[in-house]
Amino acid sequence: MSTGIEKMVQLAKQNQGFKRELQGCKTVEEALSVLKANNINVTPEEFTQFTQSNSSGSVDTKGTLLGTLCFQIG
Amino acid sequence: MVGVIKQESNMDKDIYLLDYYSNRDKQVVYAPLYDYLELIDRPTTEKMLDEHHTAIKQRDCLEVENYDKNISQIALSLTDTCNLKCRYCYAHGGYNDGKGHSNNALIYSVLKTYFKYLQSEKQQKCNISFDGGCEATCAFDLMQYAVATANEFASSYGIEVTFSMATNGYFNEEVLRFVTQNFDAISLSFDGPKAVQDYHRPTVSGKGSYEKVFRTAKILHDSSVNLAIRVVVTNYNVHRLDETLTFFESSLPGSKVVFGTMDNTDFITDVAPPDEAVYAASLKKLSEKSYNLNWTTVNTKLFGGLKSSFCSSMSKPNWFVKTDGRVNTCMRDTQSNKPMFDIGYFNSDRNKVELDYRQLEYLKTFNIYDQDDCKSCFAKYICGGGCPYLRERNQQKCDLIREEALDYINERYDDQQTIRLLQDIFLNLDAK
Repeated sequence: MSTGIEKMVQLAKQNQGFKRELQGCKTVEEALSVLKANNINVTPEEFTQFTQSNSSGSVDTKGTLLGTLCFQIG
Repeated sequence: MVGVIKQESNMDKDIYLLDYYSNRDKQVVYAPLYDYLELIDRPTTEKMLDEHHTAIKQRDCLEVENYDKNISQIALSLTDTCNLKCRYCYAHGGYNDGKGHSNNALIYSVLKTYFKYLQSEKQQKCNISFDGGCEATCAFDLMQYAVATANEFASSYGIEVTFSMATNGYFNEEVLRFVTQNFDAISLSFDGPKAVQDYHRPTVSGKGSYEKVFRTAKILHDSSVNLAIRVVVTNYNVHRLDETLTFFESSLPGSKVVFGTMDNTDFITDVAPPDEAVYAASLKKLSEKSYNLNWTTVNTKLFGGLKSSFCSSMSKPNWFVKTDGRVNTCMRDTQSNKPMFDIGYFNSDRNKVELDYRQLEYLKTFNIYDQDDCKSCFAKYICGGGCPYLRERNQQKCDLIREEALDYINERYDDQQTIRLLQDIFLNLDAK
């Protein structure tokens, strides 16, 4: 996921108003400008790619806890 | 409550029912090998479970990483000396009063054995790093010798070699030129703003190190070297992380910056690890802002999938070679009094590295399939069975790992649902 898409997902998780704004859009251009107004930069290509991607319950596990468990040197 | 809900002998799978924090009437069905996260009502019935089971069965099984495809790395420790005396560092100005050094004979023998090993394993690439000890650039002559020797072996064996190093960046122009010409990747320990850097990382004589290290960072940033800046977080700078990122953004835009907390060790000191809650709150604030940087923490390393071993120290051991000739697969363990990762040593009488193949095989048994307490644990693919070093010392914190893993899985489930909702919204846009 691109940084812009990740930011969009996180904001949608936290902010109902943002979600409603997107739901109120009629065109892709409108949706992109809502994102832009929220300081989220997503290109039309990234937008299309995201819409068509498979949203299975991917758990990116590896390394998640490595930093907590492993040695950290100065 | 965590439990296996169903297993079939003809299907190698783990399926778990986990707490779902946002709704206590539901549970998360988690099938890590099948990339499956969905909700199920509580209490569950056989019929409900069967439906999930059928859905899981239709998915492809994911590959579990055991690191055996990684490029083999060798880390040469060149010296026990350091020119800085960082307040949080385990070495604190050097080990053994900074008297230990590697030598040309040891370096030659180790590299010769290593390249022979690479050839026997049919590997075409390798990485040689200079870390696992103190500041490698304090032994610049040895570093030059090691790079030249490795290049010769690489050329004669037809293996591509790259060089990397963890460094404090406190060195002169000659070293800097050598680094930019020969190194592929540098992890630079640099804590950012002058006040923090000079306090955290003074020289051995107590002076500030900022000016010199900043110059190094600038030149590496503008070179072709792959630079990552490592910032250590303590109770001193935990409230200054925004200032730190703003500093890097303005002076080294686009850089990769990695935060990691100070280790909680029993040496020294006048700084301490940050309070975990304070650190988490500071990171959350950072994530709400946008910086022209690729910043992350050591907890969010960017590699995906499932794993069967905690790290490559077991499955495909990297070699850390100490200044005394010990060959070890774990940097943490190199300072241990009872090392368990020693796989060989330099035999100076025979001028040869002797490898302990039995120990190499033993280390491979530290995986989620061979450790009894991992077999029924839902978090095993996340922690890979944990660090054997901690296991041997009864410091393995399985409960804590499971707690963090559960938080993480809950969060991923919520992400998944948000993504689905957004996709629905956007697909309708296309239809209008």
